[in-house]
Amino acid sequence: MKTYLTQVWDISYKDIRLEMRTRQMAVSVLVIVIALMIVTNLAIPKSVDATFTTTATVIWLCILIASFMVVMRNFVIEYDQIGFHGLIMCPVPRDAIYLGKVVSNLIFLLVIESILFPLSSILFDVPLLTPTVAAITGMATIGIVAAGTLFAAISVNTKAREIMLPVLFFPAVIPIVLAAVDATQNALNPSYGANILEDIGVLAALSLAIIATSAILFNFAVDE
Amino acid sequence: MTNQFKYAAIECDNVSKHYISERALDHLDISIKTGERLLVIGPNGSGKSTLINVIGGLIRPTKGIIRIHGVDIHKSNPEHRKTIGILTHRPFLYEDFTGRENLTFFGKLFNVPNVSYRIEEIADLFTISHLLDRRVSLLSHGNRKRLGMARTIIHDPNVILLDEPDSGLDTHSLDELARTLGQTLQSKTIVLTSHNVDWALPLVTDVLQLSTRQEALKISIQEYHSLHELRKS
Repeated sequence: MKTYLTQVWDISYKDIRLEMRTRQMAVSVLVIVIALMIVTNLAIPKSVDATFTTTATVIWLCILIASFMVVMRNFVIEYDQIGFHGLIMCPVPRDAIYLGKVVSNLIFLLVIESILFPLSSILFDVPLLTPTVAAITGMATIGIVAAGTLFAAISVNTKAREIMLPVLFFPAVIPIVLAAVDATQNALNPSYGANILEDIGVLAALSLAIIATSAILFNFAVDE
Repeated sequence: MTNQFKYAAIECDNVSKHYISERALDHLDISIKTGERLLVIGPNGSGKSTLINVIGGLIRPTKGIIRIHGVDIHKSNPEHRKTIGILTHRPFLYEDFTGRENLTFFGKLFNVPNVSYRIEEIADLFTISHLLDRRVSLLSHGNRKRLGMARTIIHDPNVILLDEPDSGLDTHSLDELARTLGQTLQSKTIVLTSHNVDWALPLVTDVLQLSTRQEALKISIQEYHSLHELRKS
């Protein structure tokens, strides 16, 4: 078990070090999502009634785009630099490769979210920095990254990878994104009277199901 | 008796590999004994690289079984991959990492004890100590190939698969590679492909001739020389 976890971490740590050296992914993702956030903040008229819904929708739209870019970029670097065969030839179970990639993608996305949430909290003037929103974000991010990592592995090997990934990724993560938007606006406005713990539970169950299924499917996805 | 000596090092049992529009390998049956060094020759498109990739477990055959020391490589525990070192056309190195960082990463994944010491050891073997702290993206094709060779044997595999290891190497590097393959890796089972037959022949014990019609002929080096002489005369 220790060896398995060490292998997962070795793969994640390698991705993190590669990104820290080039910073290509962080810069491009942050520029796009911050621009999107500022434009929507300026364009959408301020209304007290709609603020919570707008904030939750905009922030999850930004996270969706950021996660798409992160998973794609992570696999493109892997594929372009050594090809996926470089990892397959190692004595590492394929699900450990998958989990390693999930962990590194998750870390990248959590770093991006740690910049996005304070920024949107200021721009939209809503209390986003609460433990409840953090729990919702964590659970939903795991599910999105888990699905995205699998689909990026499938599409990176194809000639039309720029088309393939959005076609597979966006429809698959819509349920979890919608659940996250709903849970976030409920958390922002307690007067809705929603059961936040139930929302977090649904997100956790969805993420767990996605991660377990994806780890199994990944074995076949990277075969050829 | 361990599996290493009980079974052939590599067995291809009725192996076929078909791509959508072509057959790369067709009903190939070969057995390579432990310590044997096999040179695979043949024209472009005869399936040399496919054979290396299939034996190395990188691609699945359409039909047939590949056994390494008696174990089906495509069904075995990932741990069994430690017995194989493979160098394909791509050296499998991260371009934004230095040579040392690459070797450390792969050394850790292969669970190599005392990786730092092992890196120095193989750097001496391939005379690449001066390349270790340079980014791979800054290295020439030949130097990447040498670093790729070091990556291939970092975990001291018993079976070494080399797909055109000589391509892009200058005369001096070719001599060094021949010396390393000939002396240091003497006890290993080696399968290598090359278009430079004159360079590769002194290094091997057997030759596998593949044709574009997917016919395969495995002969000893003595038989190859006799056949060659006969063709000349």
